[in-house]
Amino acid sequence: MNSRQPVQALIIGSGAGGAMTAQVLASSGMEVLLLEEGRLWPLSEYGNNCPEGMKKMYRRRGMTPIMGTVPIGYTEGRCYGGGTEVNSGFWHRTPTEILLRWKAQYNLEAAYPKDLEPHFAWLEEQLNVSLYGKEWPASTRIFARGIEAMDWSYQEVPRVVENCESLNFCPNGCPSGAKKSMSRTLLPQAEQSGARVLTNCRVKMLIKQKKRITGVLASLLRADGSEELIRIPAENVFVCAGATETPALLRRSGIHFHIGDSFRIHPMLKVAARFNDEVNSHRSVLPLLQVKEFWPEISLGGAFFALGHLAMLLSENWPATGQQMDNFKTMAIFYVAVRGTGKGTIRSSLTGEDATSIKYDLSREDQWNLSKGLAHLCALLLAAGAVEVYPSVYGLSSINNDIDAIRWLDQLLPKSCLSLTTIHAFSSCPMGERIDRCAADSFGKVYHHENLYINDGSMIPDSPGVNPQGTIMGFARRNAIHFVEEQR
Amino acid sequence: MNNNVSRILLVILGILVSCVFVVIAVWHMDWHKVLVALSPPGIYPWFFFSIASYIIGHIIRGLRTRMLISRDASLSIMTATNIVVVGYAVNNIMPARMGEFARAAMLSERTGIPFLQSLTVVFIERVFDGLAIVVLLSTAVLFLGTGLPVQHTIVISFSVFGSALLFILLVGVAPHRFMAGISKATYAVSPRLHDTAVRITTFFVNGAGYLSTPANILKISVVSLVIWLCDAGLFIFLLPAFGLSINLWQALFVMGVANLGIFFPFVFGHSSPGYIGPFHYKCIQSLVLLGAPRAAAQNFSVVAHLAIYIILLVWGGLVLLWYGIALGLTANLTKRAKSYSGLMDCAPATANILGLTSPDTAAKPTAPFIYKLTEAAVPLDAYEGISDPRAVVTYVADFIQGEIRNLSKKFQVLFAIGMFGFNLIISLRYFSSFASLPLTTRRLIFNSWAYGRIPVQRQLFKLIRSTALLAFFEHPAVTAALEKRKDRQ
Repeated sequence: MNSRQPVQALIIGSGAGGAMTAQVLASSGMEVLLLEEGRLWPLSEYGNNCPEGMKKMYRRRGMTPIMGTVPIGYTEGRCYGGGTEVNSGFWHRTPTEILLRWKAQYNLEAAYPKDLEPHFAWLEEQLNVSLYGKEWPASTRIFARGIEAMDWSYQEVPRVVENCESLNFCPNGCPSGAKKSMSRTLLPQAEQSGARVLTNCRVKMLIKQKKRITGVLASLLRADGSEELIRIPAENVFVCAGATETPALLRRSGIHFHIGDSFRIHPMLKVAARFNDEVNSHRSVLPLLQVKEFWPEISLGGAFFALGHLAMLLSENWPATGQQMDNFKTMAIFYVAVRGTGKGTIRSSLTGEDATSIKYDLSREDQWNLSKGLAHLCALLLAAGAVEVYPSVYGLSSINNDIDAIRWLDQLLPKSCLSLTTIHAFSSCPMGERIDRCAADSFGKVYHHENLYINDGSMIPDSPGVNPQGTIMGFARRNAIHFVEEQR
Repeated sequence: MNNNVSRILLVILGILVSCVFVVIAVWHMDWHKVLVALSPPGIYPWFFFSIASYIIGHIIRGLRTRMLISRDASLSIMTATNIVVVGYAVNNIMPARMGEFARAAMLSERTGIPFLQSLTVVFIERVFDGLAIVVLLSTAVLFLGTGLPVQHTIVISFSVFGSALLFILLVGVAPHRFMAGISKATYAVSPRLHDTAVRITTFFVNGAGYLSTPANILKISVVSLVIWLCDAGLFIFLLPAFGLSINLWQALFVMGVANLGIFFPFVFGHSSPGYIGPFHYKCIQSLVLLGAPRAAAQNFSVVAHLAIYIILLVWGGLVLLWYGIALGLTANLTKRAKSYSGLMDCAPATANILGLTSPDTAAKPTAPFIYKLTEAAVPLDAYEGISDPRAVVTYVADFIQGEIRNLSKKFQVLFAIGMFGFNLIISLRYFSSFASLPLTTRRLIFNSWAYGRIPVQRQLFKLIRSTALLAFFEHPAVTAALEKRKDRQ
């Protein structure tokens, strides 16, 4: 590579979208340079406890709150491999109903199930998308028992894992390498095809000349802690920095057209449940089932368990529930996730610092769905044998009978008492042919620009209602291949 | 010319041009007249009320801009209002309504919508403004009596703005027919002209897109009337300051005449920077017509103009300055950036070349206050057998401190303000700082704030309590103590 010449394809971000783009472009023979803001950690540095994991692998050490009518805790990965290093690895193809909705609402072209099928099939093979394959852990068995007692439908969700050792380190990096995260799969493939990577490199802004992006300005963190500002010329730029950072970068660079105006999330309410028998959730993989009975509006499932996470959940009513920490071996954590219908915005910081302003207003529909979801989840857990359920709702310290659970079907959880989190964010730069609401065309090319593309969670037109990794990667591969074909 | 140099020059040029315009604007002011006009006792409360009313009017203008572009882009009210104010500010320092172009340019830059579409939006706003003024002026004339010699102005203005609105509404309601008509008409002349005409028409049609339903047309009409009622508020509140009685119709009359007088560049014979002259003249003329003494009318016109001027110059100036700073920062970044030449060339062919040894950014010492807060937050006493409790608290406090330092600046400031308020309340209540209180008292205080009934207090302490409990229960010593305890049970 001659660094005095513009890079043929500059990719910003090494998560699900960026890694996929790099793999396709590099394997097609293009010259690729990938920039990652976070750090590359060797496998030996994975598998820490939560505080250490947050320090190493998360943006702002996990402190990226979403502001709005209800503040929502949001975390996203910031390391080589992005969010795929710290997620649970659940895999869903984009549901047909959702694809049809996107066609109807955003006129998203070439996005029918048959169009995406080859991409999903390829990815599922590469990432070893598979079921657990062994006897389910106790928390999963209990959850299944509850679902069957309610006579609801459920499915074990396949994961991008091979030989899971059930170490319970999913959010802090899988130390056994069983999880097929990007740093273990597509990024090495891209590197083998000639892609170059710069880690610890934060892109400050894109350099624009009329309708072309001529390169980027980036700050490079040196090993001695010093920062160096560098200018990298590029022929084509792919922004794959995630649902919050992609729009922030574009807006910082003076690109505003439908950028960061339609941010969506899956708001999530967690509960802890205490059973009579030991569950030992702290030593096993999270519950592997999801209830799709109320999909797409409401999903119920199991969440990652750690003592620290349990304490945080119980902290909403700590004086009443704190002593339950003693029973941690008989407890597990579950969630209600809703397909967010509220709208949010992403803005770059007004103060010029590298901080993104994230806003999402919980809609009344979201509030109702969370209330109903809580009722369903508590009823399920009680049917599964839970002695008590502890929701992360201030003033609602525990639920121990069906009547107390079911009343939330008809009663709204007060906003001021909710403690919500999310790890699924998307749709901040929707793609589609509807120029009145989309930031990019159906293949991620940013409107009004000749050589600028987005290829990550930000391009997803709307909430997919399922874990988004499969959707992001399927579309990212489709878009990258389309780009390569266009270049030919 | 080097790209960096040209950007820096652009910034310097922008600041110089701004300075020149401010000097021109101030140069035209008759400061003696201003001082005389501001001399009446008791004028200031009215003066500030009038300013407040005018500011509210501008915020509603921002809201209207937001509504008009809502189909194509999203703007915060603050940004939309800033855009409007910059347009007004430029109108006040440059002739020939150049502010309308500045407003369109800024709207285009902030939203990404094409300039011609932005210009259409501004045009639509001005047409609605004109009609709102005419309606309010006509109403005032109706109530004040028909002897006032402004019928001619009303008829001309109504014809001009009414025709323009009719045209806009036709485009808004039936955009496809309009496009088809333009296409047919121009294609016959030349295909090249046809393409250009259709392209320009598309921008115009998109700009008028919000007005496609009667409900939206009604909304914009009502908002426009409210805007100009707020502007009339500026005049109402100034009337008593000059010994004139508060009268809505008189205020509407003065507002209408003065604004129509400056609305059309070159038409009513006046378009000068800051409208100095035409505005005063129309203002004095209308007040005298209503029976006010000429001296009071003169002072009134000077102060009314000053109120408008102060707001637009200060507000608009700050927005432009902010823009200048942002541009300067960009230019500075570009200037500082080195080429990445050599960076990759020296690296092995397929390797991540940097990043394994970056420093831990949270290695700074923890504030004593955070340590004391942590002591109060963690349930250390409940877990016996921890060999070094102080080390656990230090670990948790360091973690909390690191989390706070990693918050964005905005949240850090909010947190600092919250903690300042907390410390102040505690100091007043206990005559001692929180950190100096005994641990049992600190725990009581912490629990009452972090787990109490007041949502604001809970939110303020959520970060501390959550991160404290997370780090505490993830500490190996605590985990071991918890396991032992469970086994004993």
